[in-house]
Amino acid sequence: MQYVPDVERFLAKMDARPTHYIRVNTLKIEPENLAERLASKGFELRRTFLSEVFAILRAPFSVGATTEYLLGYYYVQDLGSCVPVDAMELDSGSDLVVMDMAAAPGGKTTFISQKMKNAGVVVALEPQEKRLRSLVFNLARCGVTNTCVYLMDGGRANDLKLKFDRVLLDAPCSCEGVIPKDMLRKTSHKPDDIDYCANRQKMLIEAAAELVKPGGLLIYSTCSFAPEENEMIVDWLLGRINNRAGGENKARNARIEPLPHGNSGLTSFGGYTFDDNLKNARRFYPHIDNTLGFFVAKIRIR
Amino acid sequence: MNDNNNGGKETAKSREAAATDLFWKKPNRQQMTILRRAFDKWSVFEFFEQNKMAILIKDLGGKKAVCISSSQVEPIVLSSAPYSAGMVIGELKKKKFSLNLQGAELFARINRDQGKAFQFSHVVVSEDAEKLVLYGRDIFGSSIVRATSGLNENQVVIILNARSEAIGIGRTRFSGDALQRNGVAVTTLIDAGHYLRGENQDLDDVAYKMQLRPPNEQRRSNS
Repeated sequence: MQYVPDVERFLAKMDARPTHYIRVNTLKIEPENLAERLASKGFELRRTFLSEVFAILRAPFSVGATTEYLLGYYYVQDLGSCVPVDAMELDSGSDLVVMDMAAAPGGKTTFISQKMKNAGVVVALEPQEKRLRSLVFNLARCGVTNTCVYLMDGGRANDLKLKFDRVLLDAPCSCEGVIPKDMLRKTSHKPDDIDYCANRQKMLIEAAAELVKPGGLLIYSTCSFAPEENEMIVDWLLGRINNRAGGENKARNARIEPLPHGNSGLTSFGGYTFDDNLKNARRFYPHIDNTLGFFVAKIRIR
Repeated sequence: MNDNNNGGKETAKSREAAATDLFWKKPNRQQMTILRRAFDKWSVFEFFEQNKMAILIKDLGGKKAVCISSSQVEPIVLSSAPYSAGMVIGELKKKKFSLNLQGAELFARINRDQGKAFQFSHVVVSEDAEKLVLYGRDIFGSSIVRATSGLNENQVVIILNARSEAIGIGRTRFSGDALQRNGVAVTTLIDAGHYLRGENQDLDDVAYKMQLRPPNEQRRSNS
């Protein structure tokens, strides 16, 4: 915990009820119009640093029980969870080919599609069939038309024989950052789970990097605070890519680009020192950013 | 199309090709004619042309789901047989195209944005009835604010709320003015709330409802 600023305030916040957020689905409605409609039903909303995301200050009834939610006008999604998609530079063109390597239940996938205005292609992978159906339902509810969904593990994504302008890997993790929303996670996970997750994350991030076109972006994110699942994984990838010998396939180069929000990534932890570039990664803390715990690294691969 | 060069065994590639041939196709000429006529009748044909949308057919055996997607999605779908692609807007069956709820919601929005009257047969319900529909309840005649003129008994209608948003699909129990009498007038076949209720149900059943018209025998009334 020595890497967490103001630990006592952090621990208090982890036991408190988190702020809830909604992300407006701009494929169907503008944020101002939705805010007006929800205000007429007694909801009080506040803008955030992302134009599509509102904090819910007051809710007279469940935010998932409105007509607007059922019609796909918004998605209940934490602000921190929206940052990886906001980092993907999707406004730049409608011909982008994008991959979401671990897509279900579809919060980030639907956000990607709305950023792309339903143009281009989004390839969404999910290895579990039951979760896949939730993904398909959410895509339909939100009116997404530019997405292909595959029942496939992200580690096998190369089987599709495609390269991507953007790859999002929201990696399976220990989900420590979600504890304020689900207190059972305090005791349902063990320290060994972090080691298991870290091994899987290395496999997935290496597979993700292979899919990125030269000059493209790999966004790596987790909802964990553990450096073993965050900076150590990204640092490992930077070492694999940047330290490879040349040859017929010239060594690629990977750099983490900074983001405008959040707290700097760690450059050291315990006895480990990371690439200084890790300071450009971002950490989100409940007690500082008023979000669930999140980690995001925006990696440009050339 | 099987590759029998490998001792008579199918290769993974040929199985994949066979799966692609079976599940995903571009509409043939007859199917395209049926769809063009329907889109034109409902004043949405221009929308698909202007947005350069592709139409794909997902062959599920006896039924053919009609999916729309961005044009860039089409070649990927046709070469790789994904689990799902684009958005299913209805089905083709016996040379007729029937909208599903996503299709109804999309077409209602297109007409609304263009300031056009909704061409599909519909009923508009009151705000109180809207909430009941979204819980899967049927519609009383007294809750119908207005309806397409000349509706027949047993006709499929889109259920709109006061904002002209499609919140469900129903079937009339009466024809014409008899619809707005007391008692249940429209059976709700599927509504926008089914997804939330469906999370606790058999997902195959919900997936069927998402893509096709639901079976007639599965209904609830609010008597």
